[in-house]
Amino acid sequence: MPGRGVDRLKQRLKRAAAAQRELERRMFHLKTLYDVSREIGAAIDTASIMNTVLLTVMGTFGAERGAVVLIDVREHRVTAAVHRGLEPEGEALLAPGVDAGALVGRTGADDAMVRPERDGSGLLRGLGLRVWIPFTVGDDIRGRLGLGDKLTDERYTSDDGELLVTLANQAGVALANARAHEQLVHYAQELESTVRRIQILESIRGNLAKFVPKAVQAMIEASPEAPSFDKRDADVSVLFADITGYTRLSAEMAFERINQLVEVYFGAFLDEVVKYGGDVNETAGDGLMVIFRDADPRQHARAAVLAGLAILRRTREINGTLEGFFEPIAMHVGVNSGPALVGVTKIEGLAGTRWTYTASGTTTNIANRLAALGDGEAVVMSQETRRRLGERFAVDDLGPQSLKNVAQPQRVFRLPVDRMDADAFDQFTAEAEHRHHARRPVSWPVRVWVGETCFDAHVADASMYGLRVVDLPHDAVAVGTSCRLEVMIDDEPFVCTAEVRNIGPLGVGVETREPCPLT
Amino acid sequence: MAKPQEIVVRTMGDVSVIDIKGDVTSVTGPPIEAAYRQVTTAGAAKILLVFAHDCYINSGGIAILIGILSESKKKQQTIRMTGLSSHFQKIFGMVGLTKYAQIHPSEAAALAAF
Repeated sequence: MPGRGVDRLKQRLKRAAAAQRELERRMFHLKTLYDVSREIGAAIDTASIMNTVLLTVMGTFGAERGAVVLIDVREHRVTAAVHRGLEPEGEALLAPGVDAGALVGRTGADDAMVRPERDGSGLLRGLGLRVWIPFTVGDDIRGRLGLGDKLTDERYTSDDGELLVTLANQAGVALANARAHEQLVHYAQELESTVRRIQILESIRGNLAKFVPKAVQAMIEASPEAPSFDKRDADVSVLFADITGYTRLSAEMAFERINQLVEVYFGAFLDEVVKYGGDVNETAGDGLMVIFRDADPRQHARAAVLAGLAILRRTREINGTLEGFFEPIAMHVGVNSGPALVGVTKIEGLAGTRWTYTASGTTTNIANRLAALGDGEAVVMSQETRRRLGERFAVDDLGPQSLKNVAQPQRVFRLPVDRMDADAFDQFTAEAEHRHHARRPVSWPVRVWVGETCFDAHVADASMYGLRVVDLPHDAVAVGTSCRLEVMIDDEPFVCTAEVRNIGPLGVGVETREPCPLT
Repeated sequence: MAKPQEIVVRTMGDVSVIDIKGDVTSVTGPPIEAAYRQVTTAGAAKILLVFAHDCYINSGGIAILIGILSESKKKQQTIRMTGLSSHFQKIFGMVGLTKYAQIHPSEAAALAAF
């Protein structure tokens, strides 16, 4: 009897030992779940997650072989795989890009553990894997977790299957998160790259704008896809301005100093040209060619002459500033008005194509020759330009002059810069202001914002694109200043941006970007 | 927090000894694999893995060790282990590691068993 009791006790001890082993196994599995959650939960790298999951399951079940594979189910291709312990033939089956038809199709359902005996494709045997657990990463990506035989030679149990499915699902969630993160990073990189490209394009645009005439910029902005650069007949005024004795200066001065000289003077000239609405067509070392256009033929002639006078005045100012550093220079300025063929000239050669925006024809040729008659003290103009100026300013009549390559002698006039004091110049400028539209007297309160500073003033008269602002401190703005206006018109606010075009005793003339709502 | 890992390779007679301190996980496993490759390249046929008594080994670390043992089997090397706590001795037994590498109670016992 004691012997039977001992046997029972031994049986119980055996069962207790087995229960303890099972308990330890389950604790180990729980610890695995904890570890894998901790290690892949915060991971954002697909390869790292796949590797961690593979090692964790292989270590948990003591498997010598294993693989984690991602498959694009639309393309039926392996997109990524990590594996350990596979034979070379097995590795080849999981190479990225290979046809994964066998993995998605013939191994069976997406929600079950597949065993070799149920694997009609023979793939599991080919890979040397014992179980094959599917999991989902996204609509287009499915995962497969495969394990080889256990080192203990034990079979995979249904409990093992539950743990593997849980681990595989955790892997699926972590990989989906990583994928989302990778896509986000990819989008961020694309965005950064796009922003960079835009910055480069903006920079190119900004730099090209220095070379591209305003008229061409307007053509492109009006029709960016297919701007029309065709040459058309147009009435224009053309201004030529040349540095007197440029060839001599070039021979006497270092190239860098000549370049500095040109930049200082021509920078100032460009300001004047822009102020009067001209388009610099060409700069050729010692000269400028500027085209003035306007619906009113008198207006562009006046604008060209005013720009010419301004160039002469700025030359004097800069000569004074640079006295002692540079020899003073003199500018020869000629203006002619009339019809020209205006548009883009395409010069095509084997090395490429160069486009120039220009006004061609006799009007331009004569303007060029008139500049040659200049003396640095006056704007030289043709009879046609003089006619358009009106009779208010006394010009010197130089009589008919023979011009190089011009068949008939041309009657030439000269407007000395000294003949116009500052007030007369301002008055002339005010008169030359763009006035396509009828101007009428008004009395509108206006707030003028210059940068962050605000001034209260009144509008005394208005046209569709022009306002004369009174009560505005004269030192608050300068010609060319951009400002924002809030005009109260019949208790309705009209907000617009504008540029100061002239400043005189009668007020400040501004040109608005937006049409003024005149009733 | 993971303990800093330190892997030292030394020789005791014809046995290459790899001392392993710190955590053994999927992340910290590669240096152990590198040490194994180092002694293998040097021609080691007998390798002893000495784990520090407070070593923490998780499933990922076990997979690394399985890989080393599988490789050693192909290369006909003998690997023995020592320094493992009773808990990890049980785990190693549970996953079948002990099938390919015997666990010994001390370094001296392990060296004597080669």
